[in-house]
Amino acid sequence: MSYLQGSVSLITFPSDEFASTHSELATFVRQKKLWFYILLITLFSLQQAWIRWPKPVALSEVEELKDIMESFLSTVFAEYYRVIQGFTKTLGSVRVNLMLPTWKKFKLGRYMKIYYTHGGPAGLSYRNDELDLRWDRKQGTCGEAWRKEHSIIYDSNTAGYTGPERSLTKQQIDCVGHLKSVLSVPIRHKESKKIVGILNLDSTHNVDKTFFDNQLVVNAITARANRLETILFEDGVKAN
Amino acid sequence: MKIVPSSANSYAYIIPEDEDKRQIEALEKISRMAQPNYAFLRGLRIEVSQDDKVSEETKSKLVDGKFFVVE
Repeated sequence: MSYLQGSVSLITFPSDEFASTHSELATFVRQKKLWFYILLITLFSLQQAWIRWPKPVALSEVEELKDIMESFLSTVFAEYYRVIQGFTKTLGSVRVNLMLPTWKKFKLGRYMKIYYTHGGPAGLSYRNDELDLRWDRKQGTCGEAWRKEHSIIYDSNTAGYTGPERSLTKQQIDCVGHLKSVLSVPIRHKESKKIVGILNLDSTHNVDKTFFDNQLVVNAITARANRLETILFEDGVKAN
Repeated sequence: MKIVPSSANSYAYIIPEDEDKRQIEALEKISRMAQPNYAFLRGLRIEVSQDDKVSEETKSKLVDGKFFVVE
């Protein structure tokens, strides 16, 4: 009997302590209105998450800006040629494109993709497979410009301007392997500091005919790219 | 500007100096004020390579088979 009594006492003792602690906690919460603060913090966190949650635009919105953007890209050419004519009256063919960050499905990361292009006075164009390519950070000059937030120069024939091996996938090499020089300029949103696009000039000629490594050219193109930051979409584009 | 050469792991990238930043700001202001004048492009010769994708119209206008002259 005494054994049994001892066992009951052993079982009930912790429960009593818990009840007592719980009661004290409940009193503390009641007195200090902790529930109210917890609710307030939760609501504030939810609001902040909603504000910061990316709100990418739909492809239809990107499409609506096509005429304006292509007209803008033609002014990039004008600015480029204005600078170039100081050096030469003959230059290599150049195309220009604007890439925008695009969200993968379920917002699982982003990639860069071409949305707007211009082929200059000679009317050069991009192949469909080039337009469909996706570029992750560190892939190609555009990916590197995105990651480093600096302008990137590539030239297939100049030591110091060649790209790292294994930077591109086989599909990317098949599509853009014919390019001999590229200048990629990142476009940064002035308020959020996010990279909202990459302005690329590319050519099937080397820098001796495109002058992509010339200071005046780089500064002129950067100035044009900077003008785009207010027009572009801060949170990128929604995946198709 | 300073060009940091490419390496085994990265492309060549540009670090602008103060002079470049001032020039870029000045260029931004100029380009805000006026639309560019395209007249200066006349006579410009653009070398088109075999790898460029161009229209049949452009191909027919090529001088010496490779130069597109802006009219």
